[in-house]
Amino acid sequence: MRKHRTRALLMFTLVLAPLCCGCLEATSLDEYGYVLTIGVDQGEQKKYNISFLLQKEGDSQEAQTGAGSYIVTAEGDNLFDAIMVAHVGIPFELNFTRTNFILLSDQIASSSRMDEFLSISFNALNLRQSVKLVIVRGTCAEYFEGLTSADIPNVAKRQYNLFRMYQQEGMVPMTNFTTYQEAVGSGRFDVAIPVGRLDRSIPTESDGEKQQMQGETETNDKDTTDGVKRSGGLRSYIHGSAVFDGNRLAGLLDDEDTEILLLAMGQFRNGHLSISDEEGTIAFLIKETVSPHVQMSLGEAPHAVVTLTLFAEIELDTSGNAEARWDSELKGQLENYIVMELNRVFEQCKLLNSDAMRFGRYACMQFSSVEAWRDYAWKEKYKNMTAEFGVTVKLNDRIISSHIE
Amino acid sequence: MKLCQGRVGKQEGANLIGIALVSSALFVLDIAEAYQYGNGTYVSFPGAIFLALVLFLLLAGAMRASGQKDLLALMDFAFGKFVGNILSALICVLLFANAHFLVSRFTTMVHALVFMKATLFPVILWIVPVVIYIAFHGFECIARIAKCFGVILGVCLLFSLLFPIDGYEAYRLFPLPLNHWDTIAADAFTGTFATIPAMLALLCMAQGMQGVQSAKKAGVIGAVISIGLVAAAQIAIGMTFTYTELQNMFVPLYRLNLKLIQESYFFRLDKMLLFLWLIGALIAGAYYLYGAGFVFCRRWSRYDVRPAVIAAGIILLCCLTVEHMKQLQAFQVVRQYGSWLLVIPFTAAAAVALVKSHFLKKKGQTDEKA
Repeated sequence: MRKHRTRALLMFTLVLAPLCCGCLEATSLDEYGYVLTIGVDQGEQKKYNISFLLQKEGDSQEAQTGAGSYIVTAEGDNLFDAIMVAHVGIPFELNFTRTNFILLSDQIASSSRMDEFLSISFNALNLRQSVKLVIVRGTCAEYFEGLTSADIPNVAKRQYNLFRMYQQEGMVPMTNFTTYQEAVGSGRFDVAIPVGRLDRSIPTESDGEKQQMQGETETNDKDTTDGVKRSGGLRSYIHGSAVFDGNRLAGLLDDEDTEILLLAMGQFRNGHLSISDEEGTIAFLIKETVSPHVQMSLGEAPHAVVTLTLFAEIELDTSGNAEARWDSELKGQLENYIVMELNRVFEQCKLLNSDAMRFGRYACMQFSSVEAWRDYAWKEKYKNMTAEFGVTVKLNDRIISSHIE
Repeated sequence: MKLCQGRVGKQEGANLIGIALVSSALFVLDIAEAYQYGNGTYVSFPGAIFLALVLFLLLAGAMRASGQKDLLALMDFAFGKFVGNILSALICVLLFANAHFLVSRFTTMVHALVFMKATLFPVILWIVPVVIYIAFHGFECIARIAKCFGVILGVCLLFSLLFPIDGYEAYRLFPLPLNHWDTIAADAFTGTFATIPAMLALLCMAQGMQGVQSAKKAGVIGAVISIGLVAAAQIAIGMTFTYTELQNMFVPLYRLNLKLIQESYFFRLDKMLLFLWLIGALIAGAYYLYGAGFVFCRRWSRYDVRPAVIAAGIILLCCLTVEHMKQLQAFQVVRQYGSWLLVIPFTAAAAVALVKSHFLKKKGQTDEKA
């Protein structure tokens, strides 16, 4: 009986223990500026021009109703320098515990400055090493301006949702700092990092007001959403991927190429593909639920045989007989198309000397010692690599596909 | 004599040994050199515990065969008082060194990962008195605290390995160090400096464990569970980080969720887990510190263990403070040669005691017949 009472008391104490969590002393949210995103551009006076996107906190009217974020920018030879300069002009301390993204301009990513910048102590700033990386075409400062909107005050949620949504549509890869470090340090693969862009044809909120007053609208056809016209929404968007050769930006892939890259990497979830023939257009929702099967043979010219199994659902069928034609025509047509695209993207990555499809992961599994793996020099051999892709697409549900609604 | 030994059962002993072995193997043995030839730590760390278990069983068998009530008596029986004194001093030193390794590691961890803006000394002052306080209350108190927390800590460790399961990739374990079995075996042997003292201390306190048989059972249960937990933790670390990353990483177990892309509710549990592991380290540190004080008092007839524990605690505090400024060479020597100092004399003690008891039994039978 006494034993049970002791146990009950112990359990009760454990349940109450979380209530003890909290702050040891008075802490006010006003004392901190929570940095959601760090943007790194080329500096004019110093090496870097670093922008901090901060979420407005507290009970201020702006935080409740207005654009809930603002930007602080400072130049410095490293992040600590820039923080010092930024602190001079702000009445609070920058806090990095909520930082989710580090944005780097393509100019920085193409030089050795990206590695130099990222070699800071993340612990010193309480900055998590799982922070996601994004490469920005143009400057990060401009990209940040494109993210701020009075209509959607929670910038952290907005940015994260944007990112997650695109990732689920197979248009961007997701790469965090630790994965980047692994790729650079181990030399087993190269990373593909999402690319942030700016649609300048969408007016800023201040521009919009001016245009309304003047009664005219100006659009710029050159700077659209990856060549497609769009109106409304945020100016900043994430599209496609930047592929790396070690720690340097090697090239950019558009959203369709990124879909194919993610398929080969085994990180594709859902995405859309459409094929057209003389009978009409058929759009498919493609799903990758099984990781690709890769067989590698090593030598001076490594060779990989990649087998992918995908599931498809018919989303649009203008021909009206897609399900009936599936086995005889469409299946083969779709499979050939994906194989052709995989080959094209593989060659494109190879040309950029980027193992973004991560074949090195499979290559290293064939070595029985670290020395043998080091001596093999994977990235050198990758230049001569050949790949053979095989794709099997299965119709997910024939009944749904033949009776769309 | 006031050795504060008390009486505890198998559950307390098993929990205590489990906490001490897991804490030492995961946090003391985990250094960059262990990953020099790829990652074989999921074999070498549990291997160090296994070797300690083998020596423990050998000594327990010798104690049973010779009828000695604890390890100190066994050493006297095997080699006589003089060598027994030397070996007792050796156990004392190695128990103290292990308390130092563990507490030093955790003060650095807490400083580097939580209280970065403070200097190391306040962090040492925050941790060491707790270790001394627990050790001051004696073996029974330490073992009962271990029983309270043992299962909770084990389950938390397992959960901390399960949360980041999405980030595990088998290819990171490769290249498997298949050509380096000798290095893995050598690492396992070298690692025994951190695993054997915990087992020896249990045999020294066999009376507090209600006899050798009870101590043996507790030791076996604790060691087997530790082998499983340490192997699981090291495989999880190996599937999260490649050997090149691990060569430059401080406490990889703390960073298991870094490879996760999608954040979850468990994403920020790392600091909470660190404090749970700290509880384990406090218990294990107190056990080592008390063990050192106990062996000293028991051997050299000091009547009260408490002043010895306080003195050992203050020496520990001084060592940690000095180490903060300059690396202490003596502890590096223990790290390098501790395993030899433990394995050879204690294996010899067990062998001599077994042979001696065999001949004594034979002689006894002959005398009886005569």
